[in-house]
Amino acid sequence: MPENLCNEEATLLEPLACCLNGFSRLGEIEKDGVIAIVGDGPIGLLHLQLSKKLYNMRSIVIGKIPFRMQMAERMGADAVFTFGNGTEEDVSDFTRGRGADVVIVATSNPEALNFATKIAAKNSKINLFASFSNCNSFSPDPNWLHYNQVSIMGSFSSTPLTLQKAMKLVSDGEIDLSKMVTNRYSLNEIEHAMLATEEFHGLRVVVNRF
Amino acid sequence: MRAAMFYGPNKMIVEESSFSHSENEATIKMDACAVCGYDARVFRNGHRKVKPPVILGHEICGQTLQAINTSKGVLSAGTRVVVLPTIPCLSCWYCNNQQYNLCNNLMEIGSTINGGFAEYVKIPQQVIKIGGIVPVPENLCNEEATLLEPLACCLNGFSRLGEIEKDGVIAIVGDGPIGLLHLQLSKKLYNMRSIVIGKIPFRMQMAERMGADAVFTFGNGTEEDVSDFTRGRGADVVIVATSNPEALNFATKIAAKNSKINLFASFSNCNSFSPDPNWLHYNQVSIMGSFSSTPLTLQKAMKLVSDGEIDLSKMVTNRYSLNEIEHAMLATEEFHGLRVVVNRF
Repeated sequence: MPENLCNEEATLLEPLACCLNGFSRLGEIEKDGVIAIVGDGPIGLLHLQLSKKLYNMRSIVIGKIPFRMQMAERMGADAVFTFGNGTEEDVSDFTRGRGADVVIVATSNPEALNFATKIAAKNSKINLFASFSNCNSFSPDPNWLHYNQVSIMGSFSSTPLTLQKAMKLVSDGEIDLSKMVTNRYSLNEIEHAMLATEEFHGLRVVVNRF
Repeated sequence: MRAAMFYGPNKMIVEESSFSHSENEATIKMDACAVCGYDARVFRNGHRKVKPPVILGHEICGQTLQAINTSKGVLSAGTRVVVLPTIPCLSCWYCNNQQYNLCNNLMEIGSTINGGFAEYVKIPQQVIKIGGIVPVPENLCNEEATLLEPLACCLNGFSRLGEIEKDGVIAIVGDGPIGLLHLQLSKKLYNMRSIVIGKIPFRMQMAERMGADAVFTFGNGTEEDVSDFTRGRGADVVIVATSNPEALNFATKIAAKNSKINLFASFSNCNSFSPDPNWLHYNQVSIMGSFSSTPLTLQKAMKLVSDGEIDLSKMVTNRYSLNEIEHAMLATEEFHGLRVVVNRF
């Protein structure tokens, strides 16, 4: 670990490596394409930074938490939409009816699954980055996948290579983790740390006193 | 000219049809037109894309009636050619990005406009413009040449898969001509250990003769067969090359971790496909649709075949005249032989 990185930022290298693993599954990515990131949490915002820095894509973040959506704007999102009834139209308008070339499902909310298929362009790739606690209702139409040449791609965890690549991106200053950790707890307060995480306080919650 | 006009489900009439030539089109005198499973399904059930009356047939080999200017030079009259059936609008985002098969205003020869089950077929200017008319070399007969279009579709499907596992296993679900084209490509281009899963004894024999490392009958024990062959791992690539919707869930049962499942076919009835998102996530599996072909894959198909890398000579087994078009449809839907071709007009 290089000097210029504090402990708390460094904890985000592992999730960043997972995001890189997800991107590595997508194969060739559309030039001048649009990415829609469903989820405004730390994982969504890491995807946002990677999509801007590595792929120079026009990036939409779709979220629900006002503070996180503001952070998405500050981190360079080209559009930030609230997840709700009109969101499909918002994405359609932003992309002139075409939809997003890459959709990252970066939330465990199973509603995001069918939503992802609604905002995906022809020839697009949908990355199931998250796992889902309750998802009986996901039935993508195989004819839609076929005729529109859409891919649904799972990705899981990280590898030594993506962890090393994450370290390089951050130590080179390409990706900025300094704004990602917002809430700090001691080990004694571990339950508070869990609660803050599940209630979407700030961005990342870190335990830093043991 | 004589044409097999499709008037709606189960109604196809061979009749005299008026034919005029306009400046903006090339006219091809048909030598051979193969019957795709799609043609047989449209004949039986109709299709949302197809507005009768129209002439079906999109696996076309014929001769140019007059000289055609293409981006790669002039094709003189009487040149034998194959034709890309997709007609792009050349103005939408996908056309501007050379993804003509995904054109927002896509028309198709033999589907939305008149196709190859006729003495002549007109090829719109847009097809010529994008390099969709490709000359056929001497060493390829008319009937083989009709299979270049489906071969180009298979290449398009492979191109979607990205990096393919070294020494990996591919499982091709479907023993029809499309399955066997995938088999040849997987052996020649990727040197993969290749499983064909089918139902028709003759086709399964052909799969063996074309180099399949294993051929299994689609049924109750097939998951275990694949599991045994792959030592429990499953297949790294699964190609769904059948319109049987049962193949969809089956594909997820035989797919390895990190695998890619290509939905090459379309399905008439598929309400029950519900892949588990957690399974996709934890096992890093991709489900990837692919549709039709592009000028590039058609040209690549031509090169592979004229270089002798891919052998189409055993793919055409049944030949009919235009008058026998209903027999040709029947032979296709009943899985006779391999490819059925109409070669007398």
